[in-house]
Amino acid sequence: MLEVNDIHTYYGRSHILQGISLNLQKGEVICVLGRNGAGKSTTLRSIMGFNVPRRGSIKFEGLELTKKLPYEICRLGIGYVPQDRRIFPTLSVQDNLEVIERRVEGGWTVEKIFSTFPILENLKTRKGRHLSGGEQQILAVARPLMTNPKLLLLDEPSEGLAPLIVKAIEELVRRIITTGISVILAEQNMRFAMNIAPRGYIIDKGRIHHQGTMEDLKEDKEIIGKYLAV
Amino acid sequence: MEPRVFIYFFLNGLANSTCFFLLAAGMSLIFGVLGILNFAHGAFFMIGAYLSYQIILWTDNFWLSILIAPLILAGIGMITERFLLRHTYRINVNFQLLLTFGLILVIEDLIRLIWGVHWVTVQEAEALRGVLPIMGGAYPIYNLFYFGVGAAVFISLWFFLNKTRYGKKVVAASSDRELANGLGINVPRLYTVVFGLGSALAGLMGVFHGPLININLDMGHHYILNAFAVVVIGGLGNVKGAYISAIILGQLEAFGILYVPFFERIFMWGFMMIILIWRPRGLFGEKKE
Repeated sequence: MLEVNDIHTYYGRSHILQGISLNLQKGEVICVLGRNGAGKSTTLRSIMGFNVPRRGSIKFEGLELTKKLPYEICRLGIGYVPQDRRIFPTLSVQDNLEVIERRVEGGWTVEKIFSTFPILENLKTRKGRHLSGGEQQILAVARPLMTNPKLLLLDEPSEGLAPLIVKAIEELVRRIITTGISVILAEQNMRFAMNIAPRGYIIDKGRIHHQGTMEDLKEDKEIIGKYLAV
Repeated sequence: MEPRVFIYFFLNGLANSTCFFLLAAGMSLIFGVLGILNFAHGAFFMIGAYLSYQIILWTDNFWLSILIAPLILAGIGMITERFLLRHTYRINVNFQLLLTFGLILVIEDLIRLIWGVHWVTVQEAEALRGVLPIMGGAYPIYNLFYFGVGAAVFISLWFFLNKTRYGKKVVAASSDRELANGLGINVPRLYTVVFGLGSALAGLMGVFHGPLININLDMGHHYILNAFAVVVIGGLGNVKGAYISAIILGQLEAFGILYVPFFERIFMWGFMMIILIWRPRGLFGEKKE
């Protein structure tokens, strides 16, 4: 479904991604693990077209993404949950959802989001900026569903949240996965990632260092010590 | 002082506010969404005025010019954004300023070529001429009408941005362009539309303000400074702020002329300084989150 092949992405002169390759089958859930600054976010941002790779290719269902603009990439069926949530602050919860709605026969609608995530219905008239961090994260995860994506990119959804809320987000992501959406999760929280993704890549300094099932990665104490914050 | 004089100057202040607001609204909208300070906005206003002069000359119909001039300006704005400004977004912001500044020079020369260097005048529609008896005196109908125009434009813009789906997309894109783009909103097209809308407002102001002044090559410079003050006081990118600030500045100018005619302009800039010292982001400015 998605094939990222040897991409090199730069911020100005800094060579951030130095040849990242990964792939994902339809319906699969994978995780990209690494410390802060390892290149997880940049990998997702490259797929979304925010930071266009200078070299390499990204193919989604056979289509090359590196020449496309972010809104076109979104419309091909890729949903994006940014780091730091980035809720539109002056729009209400309902408007945050409706403003990006792309209707699909039998797909997600505001009503369906509200019935799936009832907490959002109770907050529907509240402005984005008046939500708590946890509420914002729930909205951030639910929001891209309004574009009816086939693949969802999640950038550190557990970051900076209390353990109880992390648990709630985990439930939410799992519920989304059961609808058949593929997911790429960027995380540094190994436990959170383990509960969601069966397979993972370990990334450091812009390169993939290991890949495999999460079970195997977890067992390898050396990998965990070397590439992940403890 | 006679209450009548007071009322008349108050009404003048309301009419002034439209003149401040119409130009500032477009500038503020464009800045809020695209992050571009369009120096050529005053030149667009001038084109609007000259176009209305030409349309009235041909058709003798003021109302028609209200319809056509803003449409042409919307077109000019959209072409400017799509084919000129779009190439500057990836490079230093100074190039945008230089480009819009260069546009002023081009537009002024074109106007000089087409309409010459002498000022021209237009007259408002028949129905808007004449005076209304207010408190035993006579007050020009057009001034009241002009205030109504400003209020109507403000309400329409407010409705557009808060109640329509496309307006909410504009709000979303203005608070986070990148993410709005990544969530499927066609931000490049939205930029073109917003720039066109802002330019149309400048054109509209050109039409409505034309009957009050001599239309000449200097008009752009004069009003753009005022509009800039309105935008800054109201908070960059905030249409409601721009309207309230226009109402305040309109009154300051009217009563400034009444009480201290020589120093009237100091009021406006002094007021701007005080506001900026007190609230550097303007009355309704918000931190970008």
